[in-house]
Formats: sequence, C-alpha cells, structure tokens
Amino acid sequence: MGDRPLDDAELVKRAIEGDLHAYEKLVGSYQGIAHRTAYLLTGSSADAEDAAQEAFVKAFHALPRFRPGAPFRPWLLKIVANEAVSRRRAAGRTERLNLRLTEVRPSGGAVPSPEAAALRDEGRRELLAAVGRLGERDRVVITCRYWLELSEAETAEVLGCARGTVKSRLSRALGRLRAAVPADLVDSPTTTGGGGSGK
Amino acid sequence: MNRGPRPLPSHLERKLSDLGTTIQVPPAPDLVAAVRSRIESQTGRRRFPPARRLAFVAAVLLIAVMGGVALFSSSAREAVADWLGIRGIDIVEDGSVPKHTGTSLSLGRKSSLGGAREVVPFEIALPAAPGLGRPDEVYVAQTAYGGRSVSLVYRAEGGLPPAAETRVGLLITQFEAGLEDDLMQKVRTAGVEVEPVRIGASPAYWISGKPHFVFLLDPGGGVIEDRTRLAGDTLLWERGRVSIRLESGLGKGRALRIARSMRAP
Repeated sequence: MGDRPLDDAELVKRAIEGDLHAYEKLVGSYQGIAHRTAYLLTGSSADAEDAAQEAFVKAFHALPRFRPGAPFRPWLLKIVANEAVSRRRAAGRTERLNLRLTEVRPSGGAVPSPEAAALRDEGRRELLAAVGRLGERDRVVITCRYWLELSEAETAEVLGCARGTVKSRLSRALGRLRAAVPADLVDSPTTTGGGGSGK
Repeated sequence: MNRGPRPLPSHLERKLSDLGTTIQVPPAPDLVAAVRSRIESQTGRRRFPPARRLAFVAAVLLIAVMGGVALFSSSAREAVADWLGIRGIDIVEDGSVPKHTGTSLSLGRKSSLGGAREVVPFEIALPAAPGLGRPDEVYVAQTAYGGRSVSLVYRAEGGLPPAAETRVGLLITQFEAGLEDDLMQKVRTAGVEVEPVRIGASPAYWISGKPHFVFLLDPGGGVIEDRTRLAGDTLLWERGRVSIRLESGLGKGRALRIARSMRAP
C-alpha cells in the first residue's frame, strides 16, 4: 500500500520501452506474492523459486501484450500460476501436494488450552491434506480465493476465465472438499465468532 | 442453465481462509538480480528486443506437419518443449497419422452465440462478409487453465466449399493467447508454408501447404493443446488480446476478405 513513486502502469510502460530498471521495480514489488503463489501451487521451495523467476522473465517478454491500464498483479500471477503448475506436471509429480502448517502462536490475548490448540491444529492439518488431494483445477481456485485472497475478478484473470466461471468452479471445488473432510470441519459446531467476512 | 451455485458453506470457507494464514511458506528469495540478468542475456542475443516492439510476443503457435508422429506419441508437452528448445525439430515420417482426425473436430461443448458470450472473457467477433451471418454452430472449449476458446462453424453450402480437413465450410476459432513471431519461423522450416500478411494493422499469417497439427502456448508458456487434429489452410491473426484462426477451403483471397470483415458487436 506504500507510496510508490511511480505506479504500475507507468513502470510497465517504461519496461516495454526497454527500461530494465523500471521492470526491476515491478519485480521487487511483486516477487513476494509471486513466490507465495508458486509455493502454494508446487509445495516445493526450489520449484517455487524457479517458477517465479521464470514467470518474471516471461512476463517481461509478454509486456507488449499487457492491456494498458489493467491491473498488473493478476496478469502476472496468471503467468506465475501457469509456470508453477507446468513445472509440477513436467516433473511428473502427481502425488498430493505437500504443504505444512506453521507453528501457530497466538499473538497475545487468550491462549487456548493445550487440548483445544491440538484439536484445532489437527483440524487444520486434515483440511490442508484434503485440499492437497484435490485435483489441480480445484486447488488453483481455492489457492487464489482463500490463500492468496484474490478478488473474484482477479481470480478470473488468473484462471483466464469469466467471473461466473470462478463462482461455479469454486463451488464445485468446495463441494468436493466437503465430501472429503469430516463433518465438523464443514459445519460450524458453534457459531464461530464474528471474524473477518471472507469476501 | 441453472441459477448459479448453492450458497457456499461459509464455515468451510472461513476454515480455508484461516488455513491460508497458517501454511508454512519459505521466505521469498530476492529475484531482482537474477531476473534482470536473464532478461539482459536474452535480449542481448535474440529474443524480442523491446525496441522493436514485436506485436506477437506472449504466446506461441506451434504446428507440426502431418506425419509428425513423434510429436504425439510422447506427451504433447514434451514435444512442444523439444520444439521450443535448442534441440532440432524431431519429425519422424512413419505414415501412421490417423487419416481422419479432422472428422471429429472436438471443438468442445456445443453452445449458442449467446451462451458463448456469457462464458468467454472477450468479445466474440463475427464475419460481416456477405452470406456469412450467424454461424450454424457454436462450440466452447476449455483451454489450459480454465480459459475458453470459442469456435464458430459454418456449414459447407452455398458458396462455401468443404475444407479438406474439417469438412465444414468455415471454422473460426477465437481464444485469448497470442502468436509468437519467433516460432512462426520454425513452422516454416517444418515444410508448411507460412506467408506473412496483414489484417488491418495487425500482422497475420497465411498457413498453407501440408495439413498440420496446431498447438498454442498461453502467455505463461503453458501448452494449450488446441486440437489434436489436422488443420488445412489457415489464416491466423490477433485482434486485440484475442487470437483468431480461420480455417477454410476458400483460398487466401477470400479468407482474408472474411477476416477483414470481422467485427465484435
């Protein structure tokens, strides 16, 4: 959100004209999300780094096709996601995706009892494993919406589909996920407090 | 069709969002220097000097000549990788290409013009040439990544002779992906004739000669297996972000006239 001396559109314009310094700024701004995207889709830090790097190189060459005024982020992430998925496929990796959880430490406030924490972590692990077992199409749409927190419009750009298709793909993916996890992960046991509304 | 999906299970959605904050992601490496040096080494030598503003950059059309069995016996992806790589083009003539891959066009799901307009993220252009109004059939297909292509089929009748490979009068396919200049050079060397032409301001290619297979790469370099079928004479161009291929038995002059008449409503 910080003040950028030049906005993306201007940087893109300069990069197309051959200003590599401008492109470096874009890389600097978006390498974090690019790497995160690639990692969530490959589950491998080596693949994620390669995919992100490759995507930035390809994106540079594709810049002349970038629609002026369009948001740069989803356009870039489309290339990243594509690169990540191709890499995983090319390596013949068809086994489930192996993502792991961080050790979550609640920042201040109420510390849950060890039992509650263990239970919560177990639920997360199960859910994560279930997402990892989903097909690639399902995983990509879930990753975009919930883990990268892209808007529906951005997700549509990344997937290269219409917005309506994002809704239906997401709904199908969630349907398959629901069928694959224990009921208590699907249905609210209690009304889970008024956290952030996902959209 | 139906009125959209059922209400989503919000508890599950919340759990998923929560999960997103707890997945372990290794720290992002700094890519700036590596990306810069790769771009410099590429632009220094051959690829797309930005100064030249190549119009056709992001994606690739890949064509294998008929008889290119080796390309399809292994996975298409590998074949395309080979093709794009430094290694030579590996085409083996063993004559076992199915003769009639063109008969089942596998253009995707049958739809209508209205239906297609709802699902593709671009304006579908239609030919305005005399005698060509609305297409007889419309198909929508999935490209890699859930992108869509739309194919308009005009039956062979009246002034439209059946095309050699498709047996339909006119087949126009539109999709979001581009064509790469570089690769067209390679297509030429594969025995297919590629003649650069122009449609309005955009460069176009008239591809003729031997029947060929068609592949596309999307902007990220992923392979779009457009059709594993044989294509005959094809005119190929870009209209904004959309690439259009027009296949017919009409010959270059008439194909160009139809292409130049195409308008998005």
